[in-house]
Amino acid sequence: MEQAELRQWERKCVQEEVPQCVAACPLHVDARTFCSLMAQRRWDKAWQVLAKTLPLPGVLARLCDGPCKAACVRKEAGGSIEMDRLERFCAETAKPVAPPQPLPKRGKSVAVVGDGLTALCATWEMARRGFDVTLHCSVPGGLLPALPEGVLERELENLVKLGAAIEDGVDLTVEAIDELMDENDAVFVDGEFWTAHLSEVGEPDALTLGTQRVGLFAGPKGETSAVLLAAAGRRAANSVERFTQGVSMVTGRELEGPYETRLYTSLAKVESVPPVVVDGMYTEENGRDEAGRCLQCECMECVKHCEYLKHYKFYPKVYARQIYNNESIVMGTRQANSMINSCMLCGLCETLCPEDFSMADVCLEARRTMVESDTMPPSAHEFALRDMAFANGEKCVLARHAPGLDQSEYLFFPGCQLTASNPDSVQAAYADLRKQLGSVGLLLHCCGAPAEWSGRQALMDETVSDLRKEWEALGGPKIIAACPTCLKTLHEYLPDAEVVSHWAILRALGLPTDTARDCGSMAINDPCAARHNAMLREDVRALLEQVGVIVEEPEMTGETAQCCGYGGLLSEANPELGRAVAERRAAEMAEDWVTYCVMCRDMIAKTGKRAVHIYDLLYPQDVDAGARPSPGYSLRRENRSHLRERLLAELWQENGALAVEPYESIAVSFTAEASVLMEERRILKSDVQKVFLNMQKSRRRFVSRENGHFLTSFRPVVVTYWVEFSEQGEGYLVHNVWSHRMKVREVLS
Amino acid sequence: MSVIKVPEADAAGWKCATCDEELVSRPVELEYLDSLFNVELPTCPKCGMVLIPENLALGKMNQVEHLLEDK
Amino acid sequence: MRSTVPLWEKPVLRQAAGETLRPGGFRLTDRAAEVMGLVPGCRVLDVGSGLGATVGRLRSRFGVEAYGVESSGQQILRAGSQSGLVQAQGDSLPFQAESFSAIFCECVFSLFSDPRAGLREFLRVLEPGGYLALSDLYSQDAWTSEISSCAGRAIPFSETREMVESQGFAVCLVEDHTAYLKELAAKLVFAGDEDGQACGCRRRLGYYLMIAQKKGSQDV
Repeated sequence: MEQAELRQWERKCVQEEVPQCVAACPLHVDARTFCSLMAQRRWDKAWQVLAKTLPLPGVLARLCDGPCKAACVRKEAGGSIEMDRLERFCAETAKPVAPPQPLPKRGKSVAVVGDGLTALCATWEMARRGFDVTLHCSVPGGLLPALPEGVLERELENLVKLGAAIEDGVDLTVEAIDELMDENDAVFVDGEFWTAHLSEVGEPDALTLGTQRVGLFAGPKGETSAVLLAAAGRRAANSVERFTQGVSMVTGRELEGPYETRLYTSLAKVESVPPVVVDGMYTEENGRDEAGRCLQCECMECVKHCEYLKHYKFYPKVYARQIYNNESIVMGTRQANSMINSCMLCGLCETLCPEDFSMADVCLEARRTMVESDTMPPSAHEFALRDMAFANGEKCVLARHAPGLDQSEYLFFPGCQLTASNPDSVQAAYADLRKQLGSVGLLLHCCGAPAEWSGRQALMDETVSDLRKEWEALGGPKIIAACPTCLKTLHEYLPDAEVVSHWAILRALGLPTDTARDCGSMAINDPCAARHNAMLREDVRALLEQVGVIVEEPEMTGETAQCCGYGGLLSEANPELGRAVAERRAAEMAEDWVTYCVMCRDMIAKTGKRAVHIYDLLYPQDVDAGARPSPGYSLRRENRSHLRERLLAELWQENGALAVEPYESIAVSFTAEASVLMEERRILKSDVQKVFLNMQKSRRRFVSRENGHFLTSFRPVVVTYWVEFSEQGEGYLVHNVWSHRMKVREVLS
Repeated sequence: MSVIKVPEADAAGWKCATCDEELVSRPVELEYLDSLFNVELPTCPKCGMVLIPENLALGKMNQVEHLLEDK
Repeated sequence: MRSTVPLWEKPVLRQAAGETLRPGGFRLTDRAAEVMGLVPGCRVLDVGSGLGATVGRLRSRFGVEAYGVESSGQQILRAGSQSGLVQAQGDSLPFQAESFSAIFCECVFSLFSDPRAGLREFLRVLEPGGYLALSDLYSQDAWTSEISSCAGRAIPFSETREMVESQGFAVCLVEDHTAYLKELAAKLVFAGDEDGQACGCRRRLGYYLMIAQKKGSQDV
């Protein structure tokens, strides 16, 4: 990732943008924090938030007209937060605070002229910045509306504490201004004053409040909003500061007044609650309740709906930077590498984000970079890629025209997981397609998605190239794909092929004869590969309706479907998080799930929730498909290779048996505990058989003094497997298995 | 390179069945991703077969492997 | 029959263009001022100051000490009591050498009878490293005519640029703002000027902003 790219990604994520109220407030008071503290009854702390920003806080908090209310997101959910009432209540209730510590004197003098609020605020702001400022007025704050006893006096005292001087009873004339211009580095006149006296200097500039007389600044005239008058005072102070420093009067002033913010806050689950309105002043309960209505605006749309984004505790803007920083660390950190490899690449965040932030784009690019620079941790995807290699190996690959035919109009492409998980239904589906369409060939092959997801583009290209050879050798027929991921991948990587879903075909041709009927209510799980394929989703729903399923849509469905946890190889790279994702999805609905990706089906089934693949309804094999457990890794491999052999034998009368590897003839069984460990630790039956074969040759093993079990190990390629077992007749009973990648080179000494 | 002693590397009741010998602690060279380590591991004094017990393989060894893969 | 009153004196132009008699209004003035980095304390000259709008803008927005020279006595009168405006020709400036850090010459350079003399004067009164902001019409054809309104005097941009460079300036920035010209022409149509068609319709005209720096300066 280049730095320019990082900035683009960071900019897309709006989580750190200011809330609407802060942006709309001409003084940018942190109303969100203020409300949070008020809701906790922490009146003093809340007052400090106001006093930090407001000039003459005791006065302004009582006069503020709350322009933030027009921008408040709560407006659409009952009514804006009554910020002005909360400010008044807080001003009455909280302990007053001392004015802020002013900056050191800078040796520049400013005269402020006028009886209005702008003059007072300009004086305050300039005194804060270390200017020698004198307020020239007839009555300080003389034009202000009535305030409770002592309030103005206290703030005028604070003004003096800040270092300002007040000269009252002054007769304000044009000549007086000339004198002040001579004696000071800059002069600011209140809007009320210059209307009457200074029309020759022209309208003050909207951005700088400067006039035709350089060094003389003037406030806006006819302004009635208290907070806008105060903001003008602050703007004047900013201008005077720039002027006396001799720096640009204009650059970087976009955020001085109210501005637009990109922060997006969803009102989706927010209940409408009306504001607390009473006659007179709020009570403590009123204040707490009204402040409690504040939504504490933030975005977090993607994080709210993704277990993966939630898991790493932040949000995409932070993640993008973490991933960027990770690239400059030699091997990457465990945390960041794991985060990069845990994204399901499912596209949900991009769909929900108001600015289309795509974690998938960031993470897939990062994976590719890691693979290219040889810093991808081998353990992340190796097992999955070995499985793909097996599915594309001689034991599993099958490419044939329909029995008795020498050309194919169609080609059935079930994908590598359906054959692994539900081989009998694949056989039935193929038979059904041949019955309906006649010249339908068969291609058993993986589409290559695991290679793409793991960032291995070269391997992906190689896989697709092999696939293309098989497809072309069969005459380039129309491909009927059953798996949504295969559909998506084939569309992208075989653009010259016509690819159609099995569901579209069935919708056109009618349901198979053995279809189950009237299955009751089921929750539909759209696989993430179907996110942008509305036609596919519709075809499936139409079929389910024909089958008699009452389809219940989860809240996150269709375009906003949540991934089951297998996407992007999450469950392979980060099994714990994958399981958490699957559990969250499974628990979303009370009904049994129906889906059209067999990995979704198995991920949900593994959590203990009942789930069926649509093939279970169309080509039923089991009595109770919903309860069928997800096949383990070893069984998946056996299913694929047995399916190939069976089809070759039954349909093409060929003996597909390949030379039996010596290790395959070793008889081995597993205790219940051992079976569970095999799955968890991703150790295959064939791995164990290889260990035993090696032991038969080497005769090397340990024995346990306690229980008489034996222990042996073998390293076929890059992983060493350890097997604890007992001898059982001709074969072995396995009690325990573990593995490691580290290699024993030699014993020293 | 100095030898690392690891408490988890104990024989845990295993002995060499081939040689009928108790296992003794010997320095063993381990390798992963171009990094080498000398660790004392239970070894058969006669045939040199090295034991990597379960808790070591799944514990410290796994941690080191990840450390070398990432940072 | 074409009117003999120059375009810039006509009330309709004032109505269409606002107080500034040129395309883009203050947008190009502001752009130039920001690019040149004008700050309070700078002394700036507006050549062809018209009603003094640019001078006013430079003072109130940028806080600089701004002066204007204008050859038309009528315009000076209309500018009223604004201080710092002097009646003078652009090629004979009543100021000492090296007394300005920046010169603005907006939509007026093509009216100079001796543009090279004008540039020499600009160079004289500019401090070393001082900036010249030149914005004006340019011709997209090679043909010129004798008509005295600004549209008639426009020449190809490359010729202007060559002239500026040959008189001792280094060109720092060139931008095409023909869009503003079209905007002004449209406004003129709305303002009901029958001759408004002459402001750019018969010939292909564009509008440029050029910022050049007096060579031999401290900053490169």
